[in-house]
Amino acid sequence: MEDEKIIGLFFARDENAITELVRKYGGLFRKVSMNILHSAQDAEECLNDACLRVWESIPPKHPEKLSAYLARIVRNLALNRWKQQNSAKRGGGEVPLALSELEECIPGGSTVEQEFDRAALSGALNRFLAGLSDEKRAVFLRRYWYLVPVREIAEQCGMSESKVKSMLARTRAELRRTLEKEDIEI
Amino acid sequence: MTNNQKNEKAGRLLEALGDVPDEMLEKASPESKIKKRPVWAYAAAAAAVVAVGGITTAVLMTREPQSMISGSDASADSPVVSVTEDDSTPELPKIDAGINNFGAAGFEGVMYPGECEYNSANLWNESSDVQSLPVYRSLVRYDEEGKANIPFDSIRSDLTEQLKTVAAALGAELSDIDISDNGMTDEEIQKYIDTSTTFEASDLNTDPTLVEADTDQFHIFTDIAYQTSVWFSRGYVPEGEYCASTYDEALRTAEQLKSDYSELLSAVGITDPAVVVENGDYTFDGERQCFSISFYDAGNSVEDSINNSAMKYVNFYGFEEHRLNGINIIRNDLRSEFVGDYPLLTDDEAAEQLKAGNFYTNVPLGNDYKPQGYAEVVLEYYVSGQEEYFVPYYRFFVDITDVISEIINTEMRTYGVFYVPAVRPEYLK
Repeated sequence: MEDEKIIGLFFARDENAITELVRKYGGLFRKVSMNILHSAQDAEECLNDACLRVWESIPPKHPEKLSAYLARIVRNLALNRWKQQNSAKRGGGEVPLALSELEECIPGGSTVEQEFDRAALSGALNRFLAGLSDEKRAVFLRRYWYLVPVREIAEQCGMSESKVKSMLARTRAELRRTLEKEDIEI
Repeated sequence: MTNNQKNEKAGRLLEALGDVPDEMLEKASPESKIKKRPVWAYAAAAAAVVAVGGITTAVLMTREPQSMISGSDASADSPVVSVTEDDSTPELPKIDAGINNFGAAGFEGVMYPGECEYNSANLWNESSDVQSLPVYRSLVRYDEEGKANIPFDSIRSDLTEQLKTVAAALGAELSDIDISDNGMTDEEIQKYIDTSTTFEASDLNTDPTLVEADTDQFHIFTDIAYQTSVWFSRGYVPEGEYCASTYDEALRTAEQLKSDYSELLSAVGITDPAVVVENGDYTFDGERQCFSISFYDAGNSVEDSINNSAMKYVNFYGFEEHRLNGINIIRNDLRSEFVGDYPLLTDDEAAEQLKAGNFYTNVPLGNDYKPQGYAEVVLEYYVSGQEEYFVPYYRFFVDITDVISEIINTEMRTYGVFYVPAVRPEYLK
C-alpha cells in the first residue's frame, strides 16, 4: 500500500494503519532494532513502541516520508533502550562496534568540558554527507545510521568486506578532517 | 582523553547522525536503496528532444548481484552477429567491453508509474544513423580497494592543475590557497592502528586519492578519476536565486547558471553548453526528489552529444532554499586516451544480442534469463573507475516488474537495465 494511503488510515483512526505499516516496513525496522539491541524480543517491543508513537503522532503530523519518519522513531527508541540496558556494561550488537569506529572521527584536542553544539555538529555532518558519492554515503549511513554489520553491507552491495571496511575507514578519516577544519567540538 | 570520554563523544556523533535529512536516509536504506539515474531533457535542443519531467529511479536491492553474464562467453555459444571474412577488418585493436564492476550497491533499474519514460543525456534515438564511435582506454584506474594502477605522484601535478583551473574560474586567488592531499601521514596511520579496535590497519588505503584546498568560500578537491568537486562552505551562499523544485524552475535556473558560471564552463572547454536537467531520485511510491543541472559541449552531431555527455561535463546540484550546494566537474577526457573509432552494431542487431542472452547486467534474475523484449533503448558510454576501456553500449530497459515482484515492494513498474556492447563483436576480446 502506498504511504499516502497508510497515512490516510492513520488520519481516519483506522487500526489497519498499523497492520499496513508493519506489513510494509516491519521487516526492515525489526532488523534495525535487532542490530542495535541484539535481541528479537527487544526488537519486537521496540517496533511495537514505535508503532504506538506513530499512532499517537499522526495526526496531527503528516510526514512527507513515512519510512524515514518511522526509521527515526525506531532508531531513537532502540538506542535509548540500548543505553538503559548498557549503562553498567557494554552489551552486544552493533552499537559498541560502531561507537568504537566512530571514535576515530573525533577531532583531536577537544575535551568533554568544551561546549557541545549539537546543531553545529548535525549541520557539519549533513554537509559532509551531501558531498560524498551516493555509494560512499549509502555505505556510511548503513553502517552508522542503520547499524548494519559490515559483512551484511558487503553482501547487500555486492562488495568484498575489505572494500567496505576500506571505504568506511577512509570516510571516517575524511569526516575527522572535516570536523577539524570546521572547528566542530563534540 | 579517557576511553570513557571518547566513547561519550562517539555516542554524540552517533546521535547527531540521527539528524540526517529524510532524502539521504531513504536512499541509504538497506531495503530500498535508490541509485540516481538521469532523466535528461535539453533546453538548448528542446525541439529535437522530448522534454521529460517523468520519473526515473534506479532500484538497488539488498540481494547480492548475480554473476555477470559474460557477453564474450555467451556470444561464443550463439553468435547472433556473424563475422564474415569480408567485414573482418582487424586494424583496430580488440578491446575488452566487459563490465566487471557496476560501481554501486544492488542492481540497476528504473521505476515509473507506467511506461518507461527514460530519456538519455544525448541526442541518439532509434532513427539515428550512428555508424561508429570512439573508444578510449582509461589511463588511471583503481581497484576494488581503491588503489590506483599508477603512483599518485605521477598524476599529482595534473590533478593540481585541474584544481587550480576550477578554483581560479570560481574567483579564488591561487596565491592564497594551500593545496594538500588526503594521504595519511605516518602519525595518522599509527594513530589508526592504536585506536581502531574493529578494523585492521591493512583495511585502510593510506595512499592519497585526491588533492584538496580550502578558500573562504568553498572546499575543492580533484580526485584520481579527474573529477573536481566544489562544496560551498557553511555561511557562504553563492550568488543567485536558484530554484529547482519543479522541472520548469530547473530549466530557468539552468539558463541562469549557464550565464553565472560561463567562466567556469569556458575554463573546462565547454564553449557551446548543452543544458541538461536531470530529475532527482524517486521513492518507491513515485515521489520525485529535487533536480540537478548539467552542461556539456553540444558539438555538431549526434555522435558528439553521445561522446561529450560522457567524457566532459559540469554538474550543479543541491538547490535547497534557493542556494547552490556544490559543483562537480567531470573530466573523463583527461584520464583516457583515444584508441580508435569503432564500427557499431545497429540497435536491431543489439536487440538480437539481448534476446540471445549476450549482455551485462546486475539484475538478479539468474543466468538463464533472456529478455525477449524491451521498453526502451539508448546508446551511451559506460564509464567507471575500474574498467580498462570507455565503450559505448546499448542500454536496454526491460520491464521486469512481474519477475522481480518478490524482491520489490512497490506498486510502480520496474525496468531493469541490460548492457549490450555497441562495438561490433569482431572487435571485442
